[in-house]
Amino acid sequence: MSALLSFRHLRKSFGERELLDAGPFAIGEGEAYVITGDNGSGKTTLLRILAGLEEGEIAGFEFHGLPLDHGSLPDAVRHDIVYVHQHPYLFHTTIMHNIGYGLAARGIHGTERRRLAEEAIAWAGVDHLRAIYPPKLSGGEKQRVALARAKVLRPRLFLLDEPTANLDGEARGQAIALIRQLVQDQSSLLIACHDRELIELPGMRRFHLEGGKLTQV
Amino acid sequence: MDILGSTRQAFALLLSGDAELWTIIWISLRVSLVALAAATPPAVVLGYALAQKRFPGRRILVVLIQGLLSFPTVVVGLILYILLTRQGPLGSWHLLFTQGAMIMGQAVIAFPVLTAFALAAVQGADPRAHETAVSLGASPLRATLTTLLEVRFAVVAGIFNGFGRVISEVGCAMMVGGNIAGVTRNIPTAIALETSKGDFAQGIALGVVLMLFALGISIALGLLQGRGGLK
Amino acid sequence: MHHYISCLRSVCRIATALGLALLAQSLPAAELKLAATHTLVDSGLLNTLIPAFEARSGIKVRLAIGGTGQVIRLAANGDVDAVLSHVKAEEEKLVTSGAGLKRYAVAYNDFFIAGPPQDPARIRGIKDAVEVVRRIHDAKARFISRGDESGTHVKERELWRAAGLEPKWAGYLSAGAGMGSVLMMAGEMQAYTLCDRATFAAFRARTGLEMLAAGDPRLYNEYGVVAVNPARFPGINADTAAQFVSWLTSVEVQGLITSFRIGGQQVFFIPAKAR
Repeated sequence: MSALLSFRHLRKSFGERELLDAGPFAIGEGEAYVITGDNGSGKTTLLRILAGLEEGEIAGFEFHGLPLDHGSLPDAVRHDIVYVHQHPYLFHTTIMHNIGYGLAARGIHGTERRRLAEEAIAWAGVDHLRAIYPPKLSGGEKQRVALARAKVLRPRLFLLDEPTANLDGEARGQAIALIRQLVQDQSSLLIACHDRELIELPGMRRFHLEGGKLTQV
Repeated sequence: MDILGSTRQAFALLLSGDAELWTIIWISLRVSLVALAAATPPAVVLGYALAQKRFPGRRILVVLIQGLLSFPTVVVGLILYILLTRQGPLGSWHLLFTQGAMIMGQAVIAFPVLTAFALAAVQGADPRAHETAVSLGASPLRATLTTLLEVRFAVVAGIFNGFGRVISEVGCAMMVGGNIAGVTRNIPTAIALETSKGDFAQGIALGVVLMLFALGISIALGLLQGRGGLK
Repeated sequence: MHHYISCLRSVCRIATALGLALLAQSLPAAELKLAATHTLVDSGLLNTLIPAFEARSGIKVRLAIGGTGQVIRLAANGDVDAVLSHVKAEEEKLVTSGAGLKRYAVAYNDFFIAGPPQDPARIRGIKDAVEVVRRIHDAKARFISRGDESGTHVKERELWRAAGLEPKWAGYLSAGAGMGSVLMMAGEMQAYTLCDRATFAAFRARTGLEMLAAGDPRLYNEYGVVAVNPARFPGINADTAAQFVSWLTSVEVQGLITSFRIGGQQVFFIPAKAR
């Protein structure tokens, strides 16, 4: 299977402290991975660098066969990778607008956009919440809306940062169910977490980050 | 000097729709709203740039803007007068003693206020907002607009503040407008004239209108603060 | 012990001296509250007369400036001790209403119509003031009015009335300001205006306007002074007002007034009956 995303070397330091010194790394298309590691090991930073939200020294970065200069993600790539924050940020508008946001950014409007957004709302099971002002949603509800907002764009790669870390009980279960769906749909996922249930999902592979180094487990 | 009588007259003037009075109020509103419409877009752009971009001279510009917040309006009027007078560099525009000059003056006066509020608003924005927009595929322009929309309440508060500052400004308006009846006589310049003539009825009526504007702005700002949400 | 007592005595002496000095400072010097119209101030005449009066009499003059309407009202309310204006009818009304003592003529000059050198309304050299305003009206030329109930404004209104015209066209602007400001505005906008000889002379260089039409007897402009009546307003400075009035109408001061020059020209004259 061809590599979806790969790099030879990735280094990140904060002042004197070297946080990441990892590589070579590659993940394939249609594969789901968790990245485990202790708190502070750099899982979030790694994901954010891959998402283009933070600077890092990368050598030999390739996405879907395209070598990238990591300063600026070209449009094509921006549209293909979606990063979801640990505490997702929903725009202060409506759920419908949030989910349709990425579609509008890609030039999809009108009935087509509405149709796709409705599909995503149904998929995430948040139809009953649609009239609520997004900032007022609970953590679990926000996570599901954020996942729907990402899924509706059918990105080549999902980068999920600790999707269940702040959830428990029913909320956590619902989020895990959605992620299981994504895995079953053969989406490409890179998930930073230490949630037992996610790690043990059928089809889930695993990397471990320790001492700045990534090892496949 | 019959203050009670003048006050009664004032309300009679307001309620009867006295043409002269309402012309003055209309001129005030027109000049201030046009000035704000002109000053807001560049101010928001500048505020955003100062908040998000690092460039040489940025800090000096921020200090300058904050210093200009309470820049004496009569000095704005003086500089504008010198520019617009017939022998001045912009004399050929023939703007002196027209509403155009008043609009220019008020736009200049409001600009630092609008910029400072936009700057504060963007600085107070959740960094995840911009990141989320970018991550979902927004172009830099769209992501900027999205961020601004997310802090829209704080930006609008700036607009209300700017309006408050210019609707009651008298020094610059008097100097570059000339207080010409039906043309450049707005609420504050009319109050100044009527008071100096000892005709308090119109002055009181206009003063009441200004106070209502101030009250309205206060209420609007209070509502916005609630909606804008302190996290 | 001795040392303490002599110290105490010195301190007491210094304190007393300071106290007396402060007391002396706060005792009011004789004062005159005078209201005068814009035209007398803008021409610069009062700038010459007032210091001369203060030097001669030792009286401090506090000057309030406004249009005729305003300064007459100040006198009528007893807010000033004396008033100088140039609308005889209003000054005499003060006297007949009992607010003023007596009206004295002080000086005179004339009004004329000033305007842009190009003279779009073709009024140059026309003696009949009513004809002048009619031409300006018909040409819809730009005209700036004082608009502030001043003597000049009153005179302007008389002309429109005499011409049977209503001054209401886009170019007729009512400024609500003093003569100097109106002249500046007229210069900026290349407009016509009615003004007095003295203020025009004082502002001529700054405005670029020209005196276009003068000489109509209707444009005669006489300045008068009225002292406020102490019987009606007991608190006013009646004796400083009386001193001012007699000084102002004295032969010596009439000489000062006629020798006042602007740009080399005499701009104030003494009425025959006052000499």
